[in-house]
Amino acid sequence: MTDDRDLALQALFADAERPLTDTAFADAVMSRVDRRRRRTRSARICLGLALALGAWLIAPTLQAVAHLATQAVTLPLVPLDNPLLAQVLAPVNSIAGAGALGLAGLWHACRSIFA
Amino acid sequence: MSRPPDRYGDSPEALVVALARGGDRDAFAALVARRQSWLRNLMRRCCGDPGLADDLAQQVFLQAWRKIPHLRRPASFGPWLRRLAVNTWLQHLRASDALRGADTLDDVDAATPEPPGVAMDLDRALATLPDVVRLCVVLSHRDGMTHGEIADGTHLPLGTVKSHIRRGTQRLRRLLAAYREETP
Repeated sequence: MTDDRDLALQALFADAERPLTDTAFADAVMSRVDRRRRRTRSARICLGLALALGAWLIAPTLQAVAHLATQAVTLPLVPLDNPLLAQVLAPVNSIAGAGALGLAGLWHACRSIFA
Repeated sequence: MSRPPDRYGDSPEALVVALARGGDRDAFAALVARRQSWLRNLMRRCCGDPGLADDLAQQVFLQAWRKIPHLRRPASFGPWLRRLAVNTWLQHLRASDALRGADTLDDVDAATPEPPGVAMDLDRALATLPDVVRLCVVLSHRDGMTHGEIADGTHLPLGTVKSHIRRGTQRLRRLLAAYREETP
């Protein structure tokens, strides 16, 4: 509680309260709210269109990069002359295989250290 | 503008707030209808100018609409709205550089006349207080907030709040002595 609580002043403040319930004020507020909602919706639509356009523009580049990456990860690390041996060892004798093995090793190492 | 039917007439405020939080426009309109008198009176006591008070109250409701999705507890809508109102008033003061006179108790005439009666006399007496002092006094005597709550809401040091309320209360007691004599 405050030290300066004054019942007579509090009563004066209470008496000074006017019932302000006119609809004009509420209507004005809601009309501004509606304007803001329309603006927000328009901004979201514009942003969505811009994102779609951007994605459409950079899609060929992304596709080319993804294609190159896919080809790169299947390259053999060690060239093998024997085609049968090359096919059998393909899952481990590639950048993707080495990466997967490396990640698995790292995961096991982390588990053994922090478990 | 056509008004939607008041679908939330008897609903608990926390429920209406929860609906407004989810983007229900009519629920928010119901909150505006319920809280407008309280908020407009608060702003009138703070600034003494009914026109400016209504402008600021509209800004508070607009901010409320924007921020209500982030309101965690629907039951605390009232204090939350009051905090927005206090911040809006302080921002207005900063924008008009009115904080400069916070330490002096100069005489200021009330700008816009209110209907005669207690409200007018109270607003005239409040208008003689510096803006920040007036805010602290209004929050203390009108809204029953503690010194600590006012310090939190206004970001003023607790000692400053206590001093503002003490000085403001003394001045109001002096200016409104006639009413105090009438009060048993």
